[in-house]
Amino acid sequence: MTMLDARSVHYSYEHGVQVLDDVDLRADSGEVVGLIGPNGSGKSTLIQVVFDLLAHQSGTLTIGGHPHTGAAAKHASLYLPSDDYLPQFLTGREYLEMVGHLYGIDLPDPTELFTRFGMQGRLDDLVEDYSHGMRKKTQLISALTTRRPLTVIDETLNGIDVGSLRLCENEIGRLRDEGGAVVLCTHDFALLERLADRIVFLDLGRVVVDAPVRALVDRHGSLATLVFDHLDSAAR
Amino acid sequence: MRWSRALTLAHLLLRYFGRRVMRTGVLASRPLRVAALALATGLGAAAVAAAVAFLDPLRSEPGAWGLLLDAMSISTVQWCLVAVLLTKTLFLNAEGMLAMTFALPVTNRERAAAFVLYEGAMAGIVVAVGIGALAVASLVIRGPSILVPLAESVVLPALLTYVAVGLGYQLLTRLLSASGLRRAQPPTLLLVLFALAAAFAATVPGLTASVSTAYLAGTDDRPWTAAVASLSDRWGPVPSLAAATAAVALLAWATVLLTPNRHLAQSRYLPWRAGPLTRRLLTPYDWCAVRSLQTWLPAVLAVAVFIALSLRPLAHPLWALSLLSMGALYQFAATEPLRLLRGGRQSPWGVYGRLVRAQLVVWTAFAVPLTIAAVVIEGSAAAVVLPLLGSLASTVLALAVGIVFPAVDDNPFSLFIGMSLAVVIVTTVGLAVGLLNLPPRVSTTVVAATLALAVVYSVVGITTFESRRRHEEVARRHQRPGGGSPADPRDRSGDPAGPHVLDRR
Repeated sequence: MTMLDARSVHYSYEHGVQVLDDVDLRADSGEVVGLIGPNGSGKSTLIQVVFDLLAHQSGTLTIGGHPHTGAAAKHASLYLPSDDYLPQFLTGREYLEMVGHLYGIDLPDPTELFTRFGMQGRLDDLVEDYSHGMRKKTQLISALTTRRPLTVIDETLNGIDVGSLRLCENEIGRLRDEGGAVVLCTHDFALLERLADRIVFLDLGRVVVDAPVRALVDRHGSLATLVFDHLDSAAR
Repeated sequence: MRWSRALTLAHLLLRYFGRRVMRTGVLASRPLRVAALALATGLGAAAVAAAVAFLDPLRSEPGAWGLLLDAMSISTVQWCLVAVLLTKTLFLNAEGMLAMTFALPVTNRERAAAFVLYEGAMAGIVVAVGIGALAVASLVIRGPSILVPLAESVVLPALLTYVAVGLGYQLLTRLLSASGLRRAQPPTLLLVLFALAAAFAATVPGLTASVSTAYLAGTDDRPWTAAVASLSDRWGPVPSLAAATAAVALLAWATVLLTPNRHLAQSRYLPWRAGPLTRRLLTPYDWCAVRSLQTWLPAVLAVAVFIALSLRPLAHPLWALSLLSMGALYQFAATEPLRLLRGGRQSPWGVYGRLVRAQLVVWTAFAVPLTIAAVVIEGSAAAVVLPLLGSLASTVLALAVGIVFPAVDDNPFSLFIGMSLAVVIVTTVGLAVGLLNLPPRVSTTVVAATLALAVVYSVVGITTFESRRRHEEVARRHQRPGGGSPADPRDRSGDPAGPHVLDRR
């Protein structure tokens, strides 16, 4: 089943700069899609349009078959932004409870996940007192406890320690194995080569490549080579 | 729309209010929180006592209560319009607060509805401050029998005005969006609200006169602001209260339905390019103030008020410059990245100087042309000094509020609390000066001392804020008892650079 279906999405900022030009992005159940591209290529804008944080201008967008702006779409998806928008005046536990309440689900006790992510004893501390990496990990724990059909991770993995990154990699793999769709936006090409099923490469607001990871690695040697070759090419 | 989600968000905002706003600045200290509450309660009690003393002679004149309630309905509508203008101005600048909800699974409409609920609560507080004392005094004197007339002349007119204006506001927002005027929305909306408040203020003398005339003539004519009471005269209290309540519910529902989605703001600063001269003259602090939309929204309002006061001289037009100080409320929080850039400790007086300088740049840009215009219009330069000094004083106070209650995350609540506290203090000083009937020289000294205190407290606020950011207090708490500076090695293995937290090993 297609969990995220964005077709012919265009987006321009008010001062006329076109950020997205006829972009398609699809993520199916049981699939990890890597979204890559240089800074300013439109990745975060695309994700923010998908989650209705930026007003949709043209194209069609559905999440789990529902219009992206509706309650059903919100219920089916989870967005981990690149900035930690966590309410700093809540404790980790309160934040996770609120997220569970908004999804209308009883979350499992997050104590064990906090411990596995190296944050033992910090669950009842204010988010304000968390380090940058701990906030990112708290966001990831919200995804791993709510386990939505669609999870979109926008550079949330940047800034967390190697051990936690390994744990995330395993957990994202488990989400996929359970039938979840994951869109993973990151500059960590090695991680994507290990984890992603398909790559969508955006540059200057356009989709340059949308193909299975295996095929791309076979053709170019690595994702990094694919990206560098494109960035150095005259066609750009 | 899932109301439970909107209420969960409203609860989140309530927690924000309780945990961050009510513990910022001076309110971080529990004794000062209690003192601030005592001061506000004392002022409220004094206002009620004064209102009771004022209304007491009416005890024996039941007919005069109709006059009083009709007059209160006029004040209610006026306060309500002021409340809408204030809360909308603060919430228009609250984009940063929205960000807190971006990762949460709520629709745009649910997010907008939560903010509408909060705006309503804030407006309710402003209206309560405006007419609460008279309403409570009426209850004290007349007992429960005044409850229904108060509902007809105060509560329901306030609610109806708020939801009707709110609905108009949302309709206009949609109209401007549909017309492609999204960028011009905030100033246009504020100007329309101001025009509405000004237009109503212009009719107040006529409405008040009509109430007095009706009372003296012994007729039942009421102003339109007392429409619910008029209905009650015709239909009786129960049907009129029910109809008005239903109208409030309907309008509120329509307001929430029409509330447009709130998306990420694309720009908070105007993309003005610097020429070689301005680049040399202006500092980053100045650019923050000059380019910020939080400066320009009040500036547009100030010019509108200047024009209105020039056409209808209720006060000297240059008093409009005081509105520019609203931009100063946000400046300390907005310039935090500049202080982070420097890293180390900076002189708080130096930071304060840079903040004042930036405000002076903005103030001068408006004060010079408006003063020239005022002198030309008035034909005299004699009366310009007081409003000019007054507007500068309001900038000093606004900077103090913005420093002591920094609008972190663009939250309007800190500013609301800070402004309320400033109003309480300024009112207390004003009442003291007025009641004691002090000579002008002493009054001037008291005002100057209050401003000097605001400056000193601002500098103390900058020091405290920076100290908290650098966790200096935490570091001090972890120092061993017995004093010594943080860099003092004492018996820390002779290594002053060793982290003091290791002392506990």
